[in-house]
Amino acid sequence: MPTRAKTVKNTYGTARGRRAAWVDWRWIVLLGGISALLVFAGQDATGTPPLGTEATAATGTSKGPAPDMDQARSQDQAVAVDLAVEVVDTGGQRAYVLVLGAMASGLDDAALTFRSGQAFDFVAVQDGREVWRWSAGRVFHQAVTKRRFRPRELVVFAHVWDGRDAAGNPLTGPVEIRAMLTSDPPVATEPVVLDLP
Amino acid sequence: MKLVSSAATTRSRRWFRYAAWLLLTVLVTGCFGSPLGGGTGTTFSLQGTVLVEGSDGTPVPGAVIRAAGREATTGQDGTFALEDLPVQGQTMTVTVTAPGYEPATVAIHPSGGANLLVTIVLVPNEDDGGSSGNDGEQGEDGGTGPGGDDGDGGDGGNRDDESPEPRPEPEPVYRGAVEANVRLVNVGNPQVAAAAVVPQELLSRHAARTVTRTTAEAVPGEWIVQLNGEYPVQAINTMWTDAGVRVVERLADNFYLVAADGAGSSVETELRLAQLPNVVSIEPNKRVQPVAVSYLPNDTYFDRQWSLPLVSIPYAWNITTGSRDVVVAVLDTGILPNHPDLQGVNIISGRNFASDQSATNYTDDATSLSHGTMVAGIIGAMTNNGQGIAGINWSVSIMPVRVMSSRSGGTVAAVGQGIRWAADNGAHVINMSLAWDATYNDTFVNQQIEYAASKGVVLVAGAGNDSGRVTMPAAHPDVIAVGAVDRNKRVAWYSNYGSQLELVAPGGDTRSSQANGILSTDIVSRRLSYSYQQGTSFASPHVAGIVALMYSAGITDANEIRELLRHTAEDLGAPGFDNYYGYGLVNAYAAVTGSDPIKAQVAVASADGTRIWGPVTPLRSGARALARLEGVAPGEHTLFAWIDAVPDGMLGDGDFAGVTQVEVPEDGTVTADLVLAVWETLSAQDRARLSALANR
Repeated sequence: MPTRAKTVKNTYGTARGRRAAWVDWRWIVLLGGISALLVFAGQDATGTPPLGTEATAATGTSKGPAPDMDQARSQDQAVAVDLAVEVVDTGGQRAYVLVLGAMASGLDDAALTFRSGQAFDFVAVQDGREVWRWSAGRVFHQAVTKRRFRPRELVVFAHVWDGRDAAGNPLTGPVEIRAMLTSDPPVATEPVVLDLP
Repeated sequence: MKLVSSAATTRSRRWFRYAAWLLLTVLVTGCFGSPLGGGTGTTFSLQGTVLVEGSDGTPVPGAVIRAAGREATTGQDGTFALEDLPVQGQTMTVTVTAPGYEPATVAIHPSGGANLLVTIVLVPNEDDGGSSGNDGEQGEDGGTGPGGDDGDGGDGGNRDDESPEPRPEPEPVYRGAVEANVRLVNVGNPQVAAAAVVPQELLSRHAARTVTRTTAEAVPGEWIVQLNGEYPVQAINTMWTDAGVRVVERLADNFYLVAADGAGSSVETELRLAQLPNVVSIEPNKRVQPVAVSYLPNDTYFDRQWSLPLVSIPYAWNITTGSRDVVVAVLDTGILPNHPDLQGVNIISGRNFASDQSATNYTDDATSLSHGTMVAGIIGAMTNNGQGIAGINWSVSIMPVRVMSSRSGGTVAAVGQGIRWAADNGAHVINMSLAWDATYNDTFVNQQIEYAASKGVVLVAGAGNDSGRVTMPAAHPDVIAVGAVDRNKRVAWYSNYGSQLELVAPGGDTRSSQANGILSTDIVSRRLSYSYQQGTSFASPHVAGIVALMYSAGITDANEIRELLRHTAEDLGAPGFDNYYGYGLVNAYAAVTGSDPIKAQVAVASADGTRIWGPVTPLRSGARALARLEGVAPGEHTLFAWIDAVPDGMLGDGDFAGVTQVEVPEDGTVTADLVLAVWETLSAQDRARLSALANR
């Protein structure tokens, strides 16, 4: 896994405002990955379900960043994962697009075991204390399944976070975002530090 | 049961009281037409000895024997002889009187030319010090000694009045005890009486596989009699001609078929038969006949459903196959109602509480793995429709309550709403093959669980797959938490554990083979099909389905259901409750028949079968049923028990029974594990032993 910790600033403007400072191949990968997710959906021979995705849109248009899979795949791991976080600010409403990308890191398919219907999780940590978790208050079925990841197929899990803690209070200051596939064993990304205003 | 009297005793006043209950014991020897002479074709001879009851062969001189208008008096040695007595009917009465003794009568069955040899035992009168007579007054007449004026019984009893009779030895007090842990096991083998009483409407669809059930009913007026030897039939009939029975045929060895000969109640005849000479044992003859032609389901994949016989579900179908009146709510991802193996299942109107679809759309949106469809199929897929799988319930109503999406799960709030809606709309059982972290304490959903429980709804949930603590909602006290086992009854590698775990049921383990998973209705790559899966998701609906069977069998109180599930479960792991198996592996047949182990009859039989201790019924001790028998003689004995699960008063098919050997100490308790299995699964040897013991 990449060792860098990204501090992502508000690079992108609103839909009505400035254009993005740059457009590169990451957008293509992101869009292609989402398309692949919808079409192929990571099924295995027994017909286990597609990877669960969560892509809840906040206000405005989410133009989430793409995970850096090149760096993720360079690590010695069957399934490479990476986390990208993008800030979206629309009319004063700030949201954070959390994107977890997963792809088989080698030339062959890789299978992971999941103990429930939950496939991923996002966690926010501040001052060493967990302040928010995506899966809190969610329920999942209790079937143990195996899911297959393919080498050139990006599977994306996304969530738009409102920057608030579990109690609904807005967070400020540095917050570390962590993401993982909730497989057995879990596959976690490097954290991304956000500086919340 | 036969009681063996203690060794020879001497007279005592105590003994007289006991002896007052005894009649004469007549030992007839050599009476099967042995040519000892003494009689013509119309006459017979009667010889014998008169002894004091309880003595070591003390004769009674001066006793008068009267028979057929003739009489004889015993000599000093107690013997007598009457010859050329006329045969008067099939039964004759012989009276015996002697001073100081209770008068006695003997019924004999002479035949012309017979020489009957008898030994008659007289009971001394009460309040006599001994056999010497009444207070010594008659001692002179009877030559029986000074009598027992002191009544001690220690001195009297001897005619010679020379030496005191030894006191009778008191009945020994045994200090050994047996404590039996009585528990049940599942049937396992689907072929063991795996037959169902099938409603006609379910038979009409396809031809089912037939299995013939049998039953055994007593044949009136016929008995199987065991004699103390092998004799010609005619000889026995000759001796028994006045008894009102006749030997029909010799069956084998010393077993004979005997029939009542004429009128008279069967009970009286049986009692009379029991008292006939040379009879060792009697049992009614029984007719074995098919009572119903029953069926195994003809579903294509039934033979792959190893989980059903593992928990005795096919055997439970002998009792009930479910009912459409029972509603099981499946709180899940929704179902695919168009699945071919759900066609015909009574799917009643459901509800959706997940945010991604409308309230009335409870259809699962999955294109592969429709979790809710799998759960519903386990509980009640169409059975005996010539395709697919067999549901636990051949008839049931499924209430689909969608609380989560196949793609993204659901929320605790939606689950709470679903529980409330199901309870308010007629659900008898709620299955929740879902989970959230137990540390997430949600007051709303807890209240809905308690609300449903207060309405008598039985809630069942999978314990979770984290190999850790039991998750919610299973961890709630009002929910039955179900862990998973593989097809070898071992706790599954993923199954959660802890003190909240209540039962285990098959959840599968596909690590080595898909076929070791749980097979059910599914969607695979957008095609309606079947698949094998593993998880506590699939253990929970086994229990929910069994609860539905219990409802249809008339067990409808939620507390009773829960108690029965616990106490009829097959105890696995550590004895009693443990954190990995809970109370054990659910047992559908034991549950639907209410075969709680505390209903067992438990007894101990001596090695020679002449002594029985018990039966007693077990008491609940935590999660176990313990039976205790006190005062058992030391030595190796047989410990046995049974539950009349098919309440017909007979031990046989459908009942639980078990037998084992125990070594009882002189002083102390031996503990034993007594496993009760369904009758048909016992070995032939055990069945024979149990039949012999239970019939005593």
